[in-house]
Order: sequence, then C-alpha cells, then structure tokens
Amino acid sequence: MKNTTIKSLAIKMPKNAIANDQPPYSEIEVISNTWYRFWGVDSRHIIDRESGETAIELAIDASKKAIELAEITPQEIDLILCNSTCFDGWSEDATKVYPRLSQEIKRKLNCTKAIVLDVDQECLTFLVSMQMANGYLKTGGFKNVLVCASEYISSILDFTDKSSTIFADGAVAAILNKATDDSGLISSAFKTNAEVYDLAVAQWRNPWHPKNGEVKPEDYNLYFTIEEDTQAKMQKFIPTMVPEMIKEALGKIDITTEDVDFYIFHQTSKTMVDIWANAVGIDYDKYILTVQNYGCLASASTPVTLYEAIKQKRVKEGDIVVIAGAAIGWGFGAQVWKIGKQIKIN
Amino acid sequence: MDTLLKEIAEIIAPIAECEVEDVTPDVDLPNALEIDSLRGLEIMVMIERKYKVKLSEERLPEMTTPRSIAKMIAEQLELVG
Repeated sequence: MKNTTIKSLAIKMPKNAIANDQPPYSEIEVISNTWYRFWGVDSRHIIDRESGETAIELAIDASKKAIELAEITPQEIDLILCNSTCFDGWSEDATKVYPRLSQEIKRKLNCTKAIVLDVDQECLTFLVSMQMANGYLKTGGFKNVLVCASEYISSILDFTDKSSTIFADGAVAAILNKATDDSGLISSAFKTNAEVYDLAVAQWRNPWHPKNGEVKPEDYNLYFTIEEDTQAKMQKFIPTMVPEMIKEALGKIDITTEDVDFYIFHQTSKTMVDIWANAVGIDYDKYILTVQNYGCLASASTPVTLYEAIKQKRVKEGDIVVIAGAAIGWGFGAQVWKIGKQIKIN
Repeated sequence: MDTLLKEIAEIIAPIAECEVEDVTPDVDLPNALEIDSLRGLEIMVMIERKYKVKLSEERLPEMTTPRSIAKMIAEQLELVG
C-alpha cells in the first residue's frame, strides 16, 4: 500500500505585520527583554477584521492555491479537514460559530464530492489532520484530501497582557494524496496528557490590565489565559515530551535522529525550539526558526515552517523530515516523512 | 578552567543584561543577577549547544554560580571523553 504524500502546500497571511514596538504591543505594560528573547517574536501578522479580512477568506485563498498547485480540480477533493482555534469571528458574519470552516470551504470552492470534518487539537491539529488524512487515503478509497488550518487567534488574545505578543494569525492548506513511489508518511507517534489541562486555557473573563483600571462590559470576552507561573510549569514536561515522540516515531522504523535530514518544529517559542533541537542533538543546519517573523501560529505553525523550509531549499526530494510539536491540553506528536517529488508551494 | 569561566560569563552576560565583568566565577546567579528559571533555561540551551553536552532541566537549581556551571560542563566532557 502506497504512503500518503504531501502534493502541495500554500499559505496566506493577513496583510498587516505588526512589530513589537507598534500598537497594540507597544501599549502593553513594560515587557522585559527576557520575555521577548525567550519567545523570540519580533513581528507577526494579525487579521484586520475592520477592513473585512477574515480567517475564512484566508482559508479559502490558501485552499484554492493548494488545489491549483496540486493540478486537480475542487471537484476531485474527497475530504476536507479544517481547523481554527478561534471561537467566533472567523466568518464575514461575526456572530457565526457553527457549523465551522470546512463546510464553508466546501461551499465556496464548490468541492461537490468532499465530505467535511472540523478537527481540533489546538497547536497539534495540522499534524493530527494529516494523520487522519493518511487513514482515509489508505482505507477509505479516497484520492485527494485537503487539509487546512486558518488561525484567527488574535480574536481571543488579551491585548492588555504580554501573553498576546506570542501568537499570530494566518492560514495554510495542503493537498495530500497517495504517493506513486516509496515516499510519504512513514511513521508517527502521538501522546496526550490531560492532567495539566488547565495550565493554558481560553476562558471568559475581563482583561487583566484594563486601561486606567476601568473594566467596560464590552471588554468581557473569551481570552487565551496563562497564569504568571505557567511558563515555569510548562518547562517541566514540554522540553522532554516532543523529543520523546520524535524518538518513538523514529524507533518504529528503526532509524535514529542522525538519519533525519531536517526537522520541522512547532514554533511555540525560540527557546523551546532550541531546547527540542538540543535534545535530538542537532544545530541550525538541520532546523529553522520562523517564530521571529510569524509568531506562534498555533496549528498553522508547523505547516508554515515546512513551507518556509521548502522555500529556503532546506528540504528537498529524498530527504527524511521529522515534523513535531505540542499543543495545550496537552498533546504531543511527531511524524516522519520521506519527501518524494518536491512539494509544490505558492 | 579560566577560559571556560570566561566563555560562560560571555554567555550569561547578555541574558542577565549585565556586563561580562559582572559575571564573576562565584557570583550568585539567582539573587545577584536575577537569573530565574526561564533565563536559566536560556543559559542551559546555549551551554548545551556550545559544548555539545546534555544538561537535564532538573539540574537547573544547581546552576547557582558560573563556577558550578563550569563544573557541570567539565563533568559531562569527561564522561564523553
């Protein structure tokens, strides 16, 4: 049975890129150099809803490009797997929550044959979706699967708090189908741990540092929330869990970390990516950082980093590539891909 | 050991946001230079990368002075041979 391969990969970022010294970040209470250095974000793209920009628009743009690059028609898509970590605001209708994005992509791109699924494991979702696509392609008689992530995470950021500096918006889509050679997805490992679930959550609350201490009713919102000591608590397990998944995935096919040509890490923070790289024994010749200009894109982070690696010619045909990451909740995963014919990007 | 201590000081200084001269061999990193767990992680990452050693996060509390870090590095390098 042939492996699942990534035929094409397309991204669509919001038009505005906002640096740390620009509003809203410049207006947050004093943020230390330590904070910025740890997370490694210099600039990130943020959706401008007021100008009509939406997560669904970005999703459709990226999906359309991925389909065109794969040289297929929308009517040849058998399955659409989509996610967006945001709750609402992803549609032109700001009040719309459900049904979610996959239905809209099917409708707007006229993917008449496709069945649709919205998937959610936060930052790990693209890997999870690709794993699901693999299952459907191998056993469901499907030929072409569209996997899409479109993050509008800025909709749940408390811009009075420094935690808002970490995250960013953007969309990415891939077409997966069956390889014609021995390339494709060759191993994977996933694990979840719900015991530390409440370290990072989205919760309804007031902003933590309202201007002049005044809380307005309209500021009560769903906000991504981490406590002051969350960073320190996260360091107790995240540094080891992702390398553990990498080694488990590699162990299943009897290859070592040295046999891997390139690593694509979820861009949670510069320091964490470097920790993971150290744990598998590699230096910058075998991985890249995208967090400095993209921020943490939640589920779009790993595929956008893969996109950049291909664009920068760091990943090429024949390479063994590991894609790995973590998600709040908590989930950890790693996939091992053998790159066949070069993945087409926009 | 003097060279090692100098290199460690050069790694720590920008993270502690101080001058290299302030990072003396026995300076109290957590209290005098305010090296908390997150800054400690940054230092650990750079030490591992530069010397090709593996330091466990559990040993972070032992990294109280540049000299203690130098000792850890030397132990690891001896193990590697």
